[in-house]
Amino acid sequence: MSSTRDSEALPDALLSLPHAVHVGLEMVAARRLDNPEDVREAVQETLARTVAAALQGKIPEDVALGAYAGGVLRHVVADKLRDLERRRGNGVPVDPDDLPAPHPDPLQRLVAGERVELLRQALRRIPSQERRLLRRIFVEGERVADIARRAGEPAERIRQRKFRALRRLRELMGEAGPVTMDAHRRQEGHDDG
Amino acid sequence: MDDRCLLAMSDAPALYAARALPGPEAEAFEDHLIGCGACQEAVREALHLTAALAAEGRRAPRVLRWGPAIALVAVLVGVLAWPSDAVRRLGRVDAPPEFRGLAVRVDPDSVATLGDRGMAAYVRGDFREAAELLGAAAEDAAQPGVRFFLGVSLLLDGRPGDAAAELTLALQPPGNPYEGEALYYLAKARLAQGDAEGALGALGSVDRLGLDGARASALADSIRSVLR
Repeated sequence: MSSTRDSEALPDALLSLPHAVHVGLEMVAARRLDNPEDVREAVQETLARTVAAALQGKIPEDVALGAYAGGVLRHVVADKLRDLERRRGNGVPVDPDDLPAPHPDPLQRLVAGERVELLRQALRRIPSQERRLLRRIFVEGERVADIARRAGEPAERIRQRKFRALRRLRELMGEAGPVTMDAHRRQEGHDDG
Repeated sequence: MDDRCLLAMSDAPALYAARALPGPEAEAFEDHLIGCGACQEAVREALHLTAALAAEGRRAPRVLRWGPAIALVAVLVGVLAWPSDAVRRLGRVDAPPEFRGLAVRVDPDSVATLGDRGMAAYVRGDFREAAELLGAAAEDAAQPGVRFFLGVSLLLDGRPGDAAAELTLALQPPGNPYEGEALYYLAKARLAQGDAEGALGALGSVDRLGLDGARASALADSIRSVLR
């Protein structure tokens, strides 16, 4: 099958989102697999199966491409984990490359150390209440609504504090803000206007 | 790619990055995330913030064998606050596995080898020093027992990722006397990372191998009840 024919046959959604889909799959795979090579293989396998399914018209119209690819990825990852466990369980020597790399969390590979340090420095310069709020959201995984309920305040007020803290961080870092923060700023502008 | 995605502005990216989204919600978010550049950027930003906030709130380890890079410290301490509370609680080790080795001399003045000194530190509960010494010992003599107690020490020192790597190595060669316990504590390390599926996988191997089955089954049941 030629690549030209593949391209012609691919659904528009797949053609318009290749980079986002690839990045997204990598992010989701990295959350489950330790080994970067396993992540790469799982993403490639998923993309291949998704494209094949699209070409064969097997992706239902009412199923979003991301959802379909996500389902495929979860199966691919589960197979990979089962295979590794089976090889260990049967006493088959495990290739050292299959062993997890000594890192604390697979997903954290996506984090750039320099940016973390910049953020860390900026965090020291924002009010402690804002730092505490961000910690509750981004480290302790509390929902804004839950924080608001416990504080007896409207959720919108907590949300605005969060946006304000993020905006302050962005300003302290003196850089173009990430999408989230830009989006927050736009929303705030809209709200203010 | 929709850079005005409302989901990117919601709690979801932060909760996903903090591994605090419940399973079905996490899967639904992932299905969206795969095609949404704005949410990918939001998750990436949340990961940075999580690591920076965790690093800011904790003291860096005194000794890091893998180097003093601040970024790595940030990542190492970041993971301590990573998984959802319920899963992380299951990864807690309340009492370290007992060491019955005859060669251990608990008098620090009488110990001579790295392995002995590491186990002496382990016995007195100084898991950071135990990890450091056993790590050095493992470079020369990578026996399953050394790997096992190194892995447990790392876990008790709050480094579950490194612990998982060592405990995985402690599974080799198959049939070694530490294999069952290594799988059990590998599951604990996975839980401390918020990886419930990985923990269940390790516990499944305990069951298949017929090693220490009751304790593994009890932990597996606890994980399933948390996931339900």
